[in-house]
Amino acid sequence: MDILISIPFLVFFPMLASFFIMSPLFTNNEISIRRFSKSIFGFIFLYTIFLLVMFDTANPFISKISFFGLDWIQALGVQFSFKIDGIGMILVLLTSFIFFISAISSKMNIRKNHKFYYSMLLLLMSAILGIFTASDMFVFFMFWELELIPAYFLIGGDFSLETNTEAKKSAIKFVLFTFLGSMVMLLGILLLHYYSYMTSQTLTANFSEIFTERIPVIIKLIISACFIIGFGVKLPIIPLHTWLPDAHTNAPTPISMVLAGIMLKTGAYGIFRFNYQIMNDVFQIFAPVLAIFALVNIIYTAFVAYAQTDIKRIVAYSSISNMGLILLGLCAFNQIGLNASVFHMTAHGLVTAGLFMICGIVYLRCKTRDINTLGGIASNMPRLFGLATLIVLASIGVPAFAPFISEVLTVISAMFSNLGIVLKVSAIVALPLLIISSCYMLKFLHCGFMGEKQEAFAKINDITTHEFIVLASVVAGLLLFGIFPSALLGMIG
Amino acid sequence: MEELISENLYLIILLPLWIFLILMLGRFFAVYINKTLTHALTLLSSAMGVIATLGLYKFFTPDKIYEYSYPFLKINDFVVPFGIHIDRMSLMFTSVLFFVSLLIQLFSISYMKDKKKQYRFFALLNLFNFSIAGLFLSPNLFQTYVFWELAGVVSYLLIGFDYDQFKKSVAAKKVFIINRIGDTAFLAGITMSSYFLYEYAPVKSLASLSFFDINTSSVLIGAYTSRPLFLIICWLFLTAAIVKSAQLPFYTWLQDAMEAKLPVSALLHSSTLVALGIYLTLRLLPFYTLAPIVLKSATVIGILTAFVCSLSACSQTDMKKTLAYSTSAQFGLMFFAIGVLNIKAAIALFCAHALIKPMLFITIPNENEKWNYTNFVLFLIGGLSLSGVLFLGMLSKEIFVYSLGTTGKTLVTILSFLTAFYITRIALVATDKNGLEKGNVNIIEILSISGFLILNIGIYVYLRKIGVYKIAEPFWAAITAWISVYILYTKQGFYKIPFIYPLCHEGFYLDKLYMTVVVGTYNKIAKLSDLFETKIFSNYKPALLFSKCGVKTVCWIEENVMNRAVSAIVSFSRQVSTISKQLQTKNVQWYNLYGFMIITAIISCLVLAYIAFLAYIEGVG
Repeated sequence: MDILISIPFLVFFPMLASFFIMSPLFTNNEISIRRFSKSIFGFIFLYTIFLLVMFDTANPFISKISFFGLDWIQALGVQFSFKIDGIGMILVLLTSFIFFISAISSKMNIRKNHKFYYSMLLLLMSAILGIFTASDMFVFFMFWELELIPAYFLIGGDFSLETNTEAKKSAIKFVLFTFLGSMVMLLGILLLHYYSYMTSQTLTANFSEIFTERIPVIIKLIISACFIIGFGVKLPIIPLHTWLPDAHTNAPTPISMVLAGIMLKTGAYGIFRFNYQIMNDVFQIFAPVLAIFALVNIIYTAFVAYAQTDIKRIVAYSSISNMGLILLGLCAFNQIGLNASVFHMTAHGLVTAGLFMICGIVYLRCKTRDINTLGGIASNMPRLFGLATLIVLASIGVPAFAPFISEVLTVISAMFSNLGIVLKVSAIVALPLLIISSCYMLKFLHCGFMGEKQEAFAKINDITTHEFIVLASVVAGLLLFGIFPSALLGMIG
Repeated sequence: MEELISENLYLIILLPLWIFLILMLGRFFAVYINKTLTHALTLLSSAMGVIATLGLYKFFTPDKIYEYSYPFLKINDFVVPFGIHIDRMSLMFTSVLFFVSLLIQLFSISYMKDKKKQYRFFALLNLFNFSIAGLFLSPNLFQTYVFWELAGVVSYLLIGFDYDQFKKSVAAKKVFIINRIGDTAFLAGITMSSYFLYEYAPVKSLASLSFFDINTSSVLIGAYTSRPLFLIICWLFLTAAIVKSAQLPFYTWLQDAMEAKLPVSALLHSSTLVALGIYLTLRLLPFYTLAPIVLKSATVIGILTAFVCSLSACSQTDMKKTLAYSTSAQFGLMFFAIGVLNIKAAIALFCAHALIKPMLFITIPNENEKWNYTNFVLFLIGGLSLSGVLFLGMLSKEIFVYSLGTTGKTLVTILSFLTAFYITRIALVATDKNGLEKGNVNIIEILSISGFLILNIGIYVYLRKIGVYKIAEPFWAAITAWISVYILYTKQGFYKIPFIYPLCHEGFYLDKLYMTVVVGTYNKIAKLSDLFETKIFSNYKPALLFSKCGVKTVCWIEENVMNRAVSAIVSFSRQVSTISKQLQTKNVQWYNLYGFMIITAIISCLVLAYIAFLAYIEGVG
């Protein structure tokens, strides 16, 4: 069976498929492009489930590519190596699932340039899978940068029938922000690599082999700060977040799902890998400060979300708020916090994908996203309304859904943390999120759907089977992890 | 037999959940559900609950506890078990719950006769039963919290059942958000107490806050924390309880919950949502007994709520609103009883209220319809019982007053007077407004009302037999109120006191205060943060200006320094070239002359340099 388990295959297969679709060999027929790429996404999803079945927390999957028996960049000791441990496995599964459902939902939203769109989507998936599986800093960085290219084209591209001039602007904004962040991150990687070599005389960039004990504390602080700024752009941590609402609002629906569902989690994953694991002694100094930033994320954006009138912007700000919760879990720096954080990555990935899907469906039918003009569509769309109610309730942390478990665990972990009074206080300060989040999410539900019927929306149809499958699978996932949380927590270890 | 039921009681709890799933999802899996089957399944689950809990009640002596749990969440040594915990108190609450909901479900069959979406309504009723029963049988505070939240959500779904009516959906939202305040306080309390046990207690399993060890846990938490912190923890738990039980200053949500359908109101107000606060307070009594000041504050809150809500109820003209205020007032009385540690009285008051309130709700007339004679009489019987003149209502007040001092007796007496006052008054107002008629009565309604009445009388007779209580002051106060209100009303003797009447009528302006001050502040903060977001964070003008300045500086340097330098070089070389052009005469002799001059110059330079070099060496030497 071992021969079937191959991480390079998992990472590079979508890339090859992307090149294949892009090449002139492939047909220009819209339907066959869609079906082909959907089958690729489905296959990758099934393959990750197969990996999950074969997975054992004690021995993570490890693999290495050598070029003619040599390392990738021999002079720097950089190896093209991959590793999937428990957390990586969960995120890989989440990635393949969200990409699969966003590919299904692309049918309704993408009307032009199919060839380009699907090949870019596959390339993006390949890059993100690479981020979650890379076990070498430089390989990680390569995939981190590779992700920008398809993301830029997907956010700013011209895929729907009406033209959106804002989309290109926000795509440029996204790329500029992320690129500046990753430059700072690269500085951190180079410093870490250099000092690790200078102090231990072993030339390596592997996460598990890199040696940080003898690096002077001041250098470690600088390196950690570089990483926090670099990943803080993606996460996003508050002053660095302004690219997010624009990019999420102007991107096509499936891309918003992917951006909020997975792309933001790469930032949290980076902080976990680099700061939490490699620079763990310095992270204890940074954690209380970061916890305050996380609190600002949680409370401030929740208020901003309440003031929005565009339903997609409400969801975008709510995801910043939830990313703050993930950061708070990491800052607690204990086992419960790590579990809560990874659990919330999964739970929030599912919830936010579902919410963006709902926004997309409403926009397709009603041609507006303004909360003041929407309303009264619940009786026309009972199926959508039922599923939307479930997902909104899940997002505000209702028992039996996954976010409930992670919200409660995050608060507990911050309270149980050994890193001083700041985290204990922040556990209590973060709690009003329960009230504020229910305020804006219920506003979303009530103003978006409920209320008296309107003339303008009298003739809209209920959701199609495609859309139903997407939303129902999201709800099923949320219920699964909400009722059996130990299924996920067992893997984090 | 006893063990068999105890071990399988969780199946009884899961039965409503299972029926909820059948009713909601059965349509998708080709299971045909007709109305009769829906009703039968719903009634079956509640009836099973009644039988099982009443059957067990006999076996459980006051100190017997049965507990079964499995680890739901396990992270290293932090374990949260889920399961069931059966003792006298949980059985009492569960049996009252199942009994009341059985009778109310019976009533809903007639109430929902011509209405749409019946399957959803009955499914939600089942889910509600599941969440409340799961809470009453929770083995620890974590599971209690889970079901506490679930109960809030299901009540939100039930209140906002008609989602296309704007007013109802807004009311549901308001109820949910106010309840969330209590949930937050509850979670904060749980987290803090769990932390102290996890960090300091000798056994890590205590951190799950099991009810089995609640006495030990409370003493340990009291020992490990400083006094103010312990008081804060207790107050957090008390806040959770008073929000759910609609006490001051959070009672306004109960008036909004009145937008729900009649059976839902009857259920919310009797044995389900508001009962949770009383249940939690009774469960956490070991905490409160260690902090007498918290008990005192519970007493004060209870008495204040009872007075404020009774006075408000006295001035209402809408029957449903009166009943809503009356619920808060009655639960205030229960908190009063718990505050003075009269547990027996609190439970008696709770049972009496749980059996009387649904009866009052079922018998009130629909808007703009005439009132049935039968219903009118039954309403009066219920009202008499609630105000302490008949049956269990009387007995519970007797039990309560029995142990009180003079002040307490006076307070309860005044409250009984007020209760009787508002019930009589509203009955008279409604008969005036709607009028009485000898209409047909629905047999199912009568069945459910008689169920409440029979249980009310039955428990009364049973308790009278085993205990000796004297008829107390509240009885006489209530009788006086009934008579005086009747006389005053028939003589048109009511007078609206100028300042106090509007104050009471608007519920002491608490709701308006919240809507303007709290919601207004919230909106202001949201607007302000949005402004901050757009004007400061998303404002790139400074950055753009800065980069423009940079570009301009570079352009200026490019233009004025670099370009000038280059052009200076160009013009210089051009001048050189014009001079050299003049030298080009196309004459070989001239060229030879140039060559000769240049070579002579070079050689002379070399010679001169050589001489200088030699002189330098000599000088050095």
